[in-house]
Amino acid sequence: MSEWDKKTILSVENVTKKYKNELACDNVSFTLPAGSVTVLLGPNGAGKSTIMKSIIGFLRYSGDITVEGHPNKSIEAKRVLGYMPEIPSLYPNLTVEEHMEFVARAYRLENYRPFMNELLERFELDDKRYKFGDELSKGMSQKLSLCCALLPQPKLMLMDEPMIGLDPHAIKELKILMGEMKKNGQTLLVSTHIIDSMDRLWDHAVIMQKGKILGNVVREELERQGRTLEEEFFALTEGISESDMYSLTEED
Amino acid sequence: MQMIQLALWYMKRTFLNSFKRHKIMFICIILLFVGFIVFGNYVSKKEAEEQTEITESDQKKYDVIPEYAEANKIYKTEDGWFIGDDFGQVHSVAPIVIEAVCFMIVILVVGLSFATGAKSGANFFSMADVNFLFPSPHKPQAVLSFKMVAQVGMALLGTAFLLYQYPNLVREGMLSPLSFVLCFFAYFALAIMNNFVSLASYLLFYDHPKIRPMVSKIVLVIGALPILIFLFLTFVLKIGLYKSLTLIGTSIGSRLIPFVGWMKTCFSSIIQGEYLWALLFFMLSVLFCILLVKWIFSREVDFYEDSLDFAMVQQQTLERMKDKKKGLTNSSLRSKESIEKKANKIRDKHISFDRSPGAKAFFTKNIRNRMRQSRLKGLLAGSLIFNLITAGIIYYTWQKPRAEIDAAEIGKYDMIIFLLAILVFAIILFFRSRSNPLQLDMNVNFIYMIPESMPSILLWSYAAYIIEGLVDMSPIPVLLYLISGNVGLSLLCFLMMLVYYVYTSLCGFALNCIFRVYIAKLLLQILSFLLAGAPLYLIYRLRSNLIKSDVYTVVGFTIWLLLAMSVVFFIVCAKLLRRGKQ
Repeated sequence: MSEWDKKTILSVENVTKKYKNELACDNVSFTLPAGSVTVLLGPNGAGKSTIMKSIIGFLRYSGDITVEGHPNKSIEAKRVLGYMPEIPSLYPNLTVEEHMEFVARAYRLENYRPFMNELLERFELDDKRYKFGDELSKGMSQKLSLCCALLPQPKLMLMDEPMIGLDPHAIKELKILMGEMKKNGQTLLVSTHIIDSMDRLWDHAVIMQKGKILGNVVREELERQGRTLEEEFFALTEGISESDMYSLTEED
Repeated sequence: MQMIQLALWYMKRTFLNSFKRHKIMFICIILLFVGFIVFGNYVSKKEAEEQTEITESDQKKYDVIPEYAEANKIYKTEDGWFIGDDFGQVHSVAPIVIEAVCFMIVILVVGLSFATGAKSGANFFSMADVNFLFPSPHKPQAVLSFKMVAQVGMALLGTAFLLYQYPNLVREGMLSPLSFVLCFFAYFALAIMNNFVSLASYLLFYDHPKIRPMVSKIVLVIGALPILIFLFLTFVLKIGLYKSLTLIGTSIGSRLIPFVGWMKTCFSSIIQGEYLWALLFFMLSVLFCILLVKWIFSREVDFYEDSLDFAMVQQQTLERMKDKKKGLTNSSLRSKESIEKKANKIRDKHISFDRSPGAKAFFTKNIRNRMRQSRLKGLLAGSLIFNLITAGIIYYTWQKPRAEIDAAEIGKYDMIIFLLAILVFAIILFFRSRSNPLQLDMNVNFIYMIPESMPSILLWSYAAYIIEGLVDMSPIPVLLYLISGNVGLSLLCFLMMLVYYVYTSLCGFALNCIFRVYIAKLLLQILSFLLAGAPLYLIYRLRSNLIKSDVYTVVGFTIWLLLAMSVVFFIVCAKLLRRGKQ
């Protein structure tokens, strides 16, 4: 029995999103089992961010999205969801610590300080806690955005291109943290176009192109076939077979 | 309730942090405010003292003799201002003018808010709000309340500008101190209501994105309608100023228009000291406001996507500003190919960088940019519109009442007209100078690597900007000459405009050099607006002394003042940049 049949935390059914005349997502359907790490893979413009934004409730779409059985825009669903945006954006006149406090107040978190301090330490923001939002570099802003998203400890965390802009240490820490979240039973949906970035962490992968899902990949099944995610990705998106891949590698 | 508490906490933190970070700027603004008020008070007192010394013969000149009252002529008496109608009767100007002007202003302001809301939609959230608040476990209505509370804070800041008018309104006898305070609160209420009106219009047409732009245009026309009707009645049908104002402002119908009519009556009642009426209409407006807010919160509208769209555009603009790529829009980035083609064409036609080494490269670059933006041989469409507006104002103010003025008064009158026209033009120019290419140049790091002196770099970069100004303003002296037939005066006024143009851009640039931050954009704009207005305010306050002189002296004095201040700012800029270079 594959892991897809485990208790579903997120269900995306027939989601279609149009921007004026452009079809960003075309009848997208997939489910996420609780406690898994799922990668949303696809080239630029595949519709990954649109799906992420639809799940978090930012966009209007046709179709159904439920989180633990609740409509995704309901308060019950939002208590389960966490979101790390692709482009970090901070309040210029709030300090690093005040950003965390802002999130804690918005989510009505109590006794959040120990976890806040832990996050700030892990992502090397401890000594920058009194820096203002507009004084942080792009990487630092990304780290703070990540810390803010992690602070409420959501059951289902959506991360839109989380590695972009982070330094190697932060990437390492993020990967460790993702592993810990997985161990704690939290579910992760990570969108990326860098296949290697989630190499050791992923359980499932949803491969998208031009707004459509090309395939749902389960790690165990793929490993049983002796194939890699990269091969599967190129086979689905570019129609390049395993032999073609090897010949390309040899030519290189 | 939790969101309101969060908003209050956020506002408190933002204000305290802003104050901590920009102490100097805050102090500068407060000092400038206080300076204006003290100076205004002093001059008004002096004027009042001088007025009490008016001789008996002078007094007679201003007395109203109804038998001789000419239609549409405005008289000043000890009891105030009066206007003559077609039947030789005089009426107090205050209630008519105040009510009509209040109506025109309120309907225009509310109309603008409604139109903006209908067109731009939910434009009140920043990207940070989107990222932090939208995913939080709250209903969209609760998230909306967060922003509404924050908007109230901004409205209060905007209303603070009224304080700056205290000497003009109170000392000049237009308002009693109590009326001024009540006006302040009424204006504050209007500013808050504008946000609600904007939001309500968005929610009203939320389901109809196709008709939103059309609605926006229609509402804009409705907002401007009283002004248009007034202009039509006065200048086309020529029914007279008094009749036009009466028709527009004091018609009973206008009082019945919900909110707009009530706010107008509230303002005019405050100004005229009829506080009970003011209270009644204020309460009606507040009731309307409460009902509107109730309606807004009863609408379960999913505004997140529209807000996200707007916030993303805003974020991109901010990013571009940070990356010093202002001017390159998304569409222009997409049409990179067409830009390259155009650039090659211009490169063939115009001087190349090879022939303009060192600091001159900035001059060439800015001129080239200008040529790229222009479709009309260097003239921008925006500049043409500015010129047309200014020409219209100059023509009207010069032509219409000139015939009614005694020959002896013409000298003084010329000067007032010129000052008015120039003031309007200066304000337009000031806003245009916000897109000063010089500021963009100075934000580029490589400017500091050029092996030339800072004043030289500054001058070359600035030369292009001055040439742009010259091109933009070129039709003005011709128009002035055609209207007035006075070559000397036309040229002097043109020179004055140019110097003011230099002054506003230099002071804006100096402020940017001193406070090189983006977060305090609003504060920076307030400060630069105050600085840009300072010389004009000075001239305005000294008008009673200047009026005794002839127009050449006044224009000459203004040029000298602006030039002196420009030189000071130029030295400040060069020093600041030299420090940056080191």
